[in-house]
Amino acid sequence: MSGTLPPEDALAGHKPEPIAPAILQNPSDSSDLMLVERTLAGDQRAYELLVIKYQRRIQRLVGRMVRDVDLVEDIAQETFIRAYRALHQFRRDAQFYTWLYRIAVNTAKKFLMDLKRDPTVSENYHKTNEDEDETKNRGNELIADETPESLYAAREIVGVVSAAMDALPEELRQAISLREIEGLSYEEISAVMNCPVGTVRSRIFRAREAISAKVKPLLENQSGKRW
Amino acid sequence: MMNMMNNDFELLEDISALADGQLQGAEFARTLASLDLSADARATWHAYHLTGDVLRSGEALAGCDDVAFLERFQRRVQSEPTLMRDQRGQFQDEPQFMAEDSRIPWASPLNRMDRQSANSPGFRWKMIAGFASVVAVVAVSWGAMGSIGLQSDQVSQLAQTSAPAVPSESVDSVAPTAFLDPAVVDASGSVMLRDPHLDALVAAHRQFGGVSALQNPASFVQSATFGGVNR
Repeated sequence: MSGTLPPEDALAGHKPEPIAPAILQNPSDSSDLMLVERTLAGDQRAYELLVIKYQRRIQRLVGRMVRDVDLVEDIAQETFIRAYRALHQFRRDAQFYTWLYRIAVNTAKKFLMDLKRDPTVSENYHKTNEDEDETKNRGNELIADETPESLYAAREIVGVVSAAMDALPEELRQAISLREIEGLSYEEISAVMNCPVGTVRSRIFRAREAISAKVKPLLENQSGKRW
Repeated sequence: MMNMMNNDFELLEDISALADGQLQGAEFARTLASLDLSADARATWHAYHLTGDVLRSGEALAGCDDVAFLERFQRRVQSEPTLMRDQRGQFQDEPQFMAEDSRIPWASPLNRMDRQSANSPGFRWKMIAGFASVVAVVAVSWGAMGSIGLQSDQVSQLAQTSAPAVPSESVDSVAPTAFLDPAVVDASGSVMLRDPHLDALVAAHRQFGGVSALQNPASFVQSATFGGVNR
């Protein structure tokens, strides 16, 4: 695994950890590395951009190991703090997300181990983990601290994104799909779509803008806060 | 007005390109500065990535307030011991180190304090040196412990040979002066305080002595207990 991390394995009896993400040469990795460099040069806001970018992925990952929403957020927070502290140990030949992923898994394991040791362990945790199977589909079931409203809001976002995608012109939809879903680089997309790279860049941007124009009002209504 | 809109439009396109790792150099720095200054730009950065997450996973996280998450992170970073910022401040006063480190392509002032990667050659040599030191310390300690152990064995053997067994029926005939005199002078001239009652008790129950709870002969204890009458 990439990066230098303190070994915190050796936890038996817990759910198997999710499979590590496949290492793809994603062009956005280069911007991650540049943001890491900026952070190491003293620009903390650059690291916050990485937090904004990866917080949902990390929470989703941790959520597959732990079902308590509060705990998931705590672990995700701890993951980013640990990564921030150890950022100078991050090797530049690795992907930032792969490294972050490893930290998240180790942090989740440590939290779970501490919970096991602590006799006053959160009842929520036990309740939500009893008789659970890793492959079990959560479906419509509420997990700890999820509310019907938050579930509805999440589904609303998915619905809006999906509807906005459907409403896009074909070339924009294809460009954004190839980029976001297939993970192709601009050069690859330009080859697939038979158009210049500049056009790809423009199409992806226009697609993103069209979708986020529908999503942003929802996000502002939900949190009521500003970035 | 039109110019401002064009600028906004360009910034948003740059943010989109930054999300895809397509910006370099001055464009990258300019976009980063805009993201630093503008809440709208950060909201756009967030919305683009959220959109990407939803497209890839087909779901959005319920009960997840991204703004609150970032605010909490910012508070925690502020309350951190600010290791990085302290180091940076320290290195800014040490231009020589920065000049040396500039030979490394990605070196930043912070990297001088980096823990070396486990696969770097210097790290291996340090590991070997550390291991050799540990081995040396263990060897010296082992030798010292061995000599101490030998000495104690020799003492116990000497004590055994110099303490002849006293017949059980002669308990009553033990020299009364030895019992009564609590201070006994041994061969080296040092004074040993003895409890006459304890000596009598031990002599009376000598059949239970001489073997430890582990059923091994406790030669030193034997010599210390039954040797009293001869001292």
